[in-house]
Amino acid sequence: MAGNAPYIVPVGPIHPALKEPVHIELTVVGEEVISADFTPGQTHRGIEWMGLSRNPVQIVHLTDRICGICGVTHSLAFARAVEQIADITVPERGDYVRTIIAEFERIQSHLLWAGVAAHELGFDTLFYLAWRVREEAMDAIEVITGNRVNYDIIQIGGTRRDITEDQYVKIRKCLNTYKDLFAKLKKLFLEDAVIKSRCVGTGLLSFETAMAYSAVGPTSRASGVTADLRVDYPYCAYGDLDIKPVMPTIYGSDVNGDTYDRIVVRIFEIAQSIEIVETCLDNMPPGPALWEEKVAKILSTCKKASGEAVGRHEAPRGEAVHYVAMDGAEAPIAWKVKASSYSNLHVWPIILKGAQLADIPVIVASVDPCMSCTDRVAITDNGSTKIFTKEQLAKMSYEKSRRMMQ
Amino acid sequence: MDEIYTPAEVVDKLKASLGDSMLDSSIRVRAEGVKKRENSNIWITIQKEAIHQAVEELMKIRYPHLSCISGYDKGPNDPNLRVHYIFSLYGGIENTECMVIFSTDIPKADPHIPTITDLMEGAAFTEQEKREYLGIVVDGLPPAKHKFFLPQDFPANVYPLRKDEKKIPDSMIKNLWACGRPDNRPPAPLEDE
Repeated sequence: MAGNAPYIVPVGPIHPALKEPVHIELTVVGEEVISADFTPGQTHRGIEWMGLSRNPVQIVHLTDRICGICGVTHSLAFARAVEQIADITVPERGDYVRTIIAEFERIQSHLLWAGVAAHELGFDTLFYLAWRVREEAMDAIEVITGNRVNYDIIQIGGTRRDITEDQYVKIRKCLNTYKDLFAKLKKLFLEDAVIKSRCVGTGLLSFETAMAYSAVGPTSRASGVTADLRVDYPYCAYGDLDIKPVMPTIYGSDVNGDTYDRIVVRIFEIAQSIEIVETCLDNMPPGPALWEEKVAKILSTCKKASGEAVGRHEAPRGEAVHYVAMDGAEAPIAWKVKASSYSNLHVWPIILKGAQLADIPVIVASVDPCMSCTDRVAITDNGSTKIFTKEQLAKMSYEKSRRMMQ
Repeated sequence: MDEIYTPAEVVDKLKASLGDSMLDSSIRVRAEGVKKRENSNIWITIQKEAIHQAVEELMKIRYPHLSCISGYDKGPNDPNLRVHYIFSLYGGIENTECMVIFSTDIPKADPHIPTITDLMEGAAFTEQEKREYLGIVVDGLPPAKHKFFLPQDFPANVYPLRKDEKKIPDSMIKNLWACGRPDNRPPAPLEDE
């Protein structure tokens, strides 16, 4: 580059190295990043706004569509908020089914992340391996819910499906495969010289910053914050379990708060989730998994309810919060979604500062960002953009298909 | 600092220091799972002038975790916006975490709230969202270099989550559903032909 430093390096919104709609602006001197800024608001699907014209049962299905990976996180947090307002008690078995599926989600989400992190490091063999291994968890989820993504298993008052005895066999088989694989996975990710050299000491997030910025999930735990909703705030079946938050010290190292620590936390959380699912399967209480089978009755109960509540869930990426307010009408009057990525994104300018340009992808990926979770609403025609109607889009699509067939 | 208070004690402590600024409080307890371990949420309504002091008092009990600041417009006929500061206390201590939610009404005519970024830096992001989406003026929060959540060319003085006259005007909304059905298709074949 000609001229004098510093240079501005813009990344995104859609960039080959970062496949999510976020704009990052880096100021660099040589290869070193001296400051970073970002704009997350590139997704405007307006799901919160859509929810304000739907009833709670419809919103539960809508919440599944907030994130492409977390199929149960948002529906669980939303359902818990509505249950508090309408004073619905979930049957004990429902709590257990919810816990099992939430833990499977953690396994598949962490494996997906592990693959992405390996890919960002340029280690594509490991990326394929991690995603191949992830298939087992996806199959188990399909056995339980019937779907691989957008599980739609949560209903207000419990879960839409129960886990039957013959599913136990398949689930246990999947868990045993992971147990066998875990040592290999640990060795590949944590003992590899390349990964170590790229990740140790990069993307540092101190304990104080993690607290002041209210970071959540593995990102904060890797910096030494012992907070884990499942342990601190007993909900679903987590209160019955004896679990401890996974800290980087589990691998015999000190807490550094670097990218490597975030890998350690996530890899060991996979092992923890396997144990949780096994314990839940062993102690499943009998009875129904849903408070009320008839959707009409659930709806009428919700319609009578008024009040406000906050539902929370420890998602794979950290705490997700749903605020719901209802006033006796069919649709809620307010619904606010705070996804885990929303809390974690604003540590980016801090952890990117001082990093080498080549390390940016893996540092950005190390907080496991999910941009669709930061979705907000902005329906606008400001005169500067061209607008296509549905008809025009359909026509363009036909024309393109014809061109491709020739 | 290390002493752990029960939710009722937390309310008493806040009541003692906030005095009449605290309008209302309630503790809601839920028990889930087989062992029925309890989790509690504390809901406190305060006057908007007391927000900064309330957060300061909460920090004296223990450094809280800020989930987010949530807000909504109560409707075109209501003169107020409602804002919630969603915190949790005792994060990191097994089975003791409780949520503390401060709610307050902010008049649309004068939507000012004080910033809490001097107490916890991380609040800037969520305060900025209230500024962009509800048009709340956060006193003390430095102006942002660019818009965070809205498109950069979004018009000023229009707030997507407002339901009054400051909402998005109908002329700005893309009526995709209004394009109608295509009329150049052949009619569907009748069954007996």
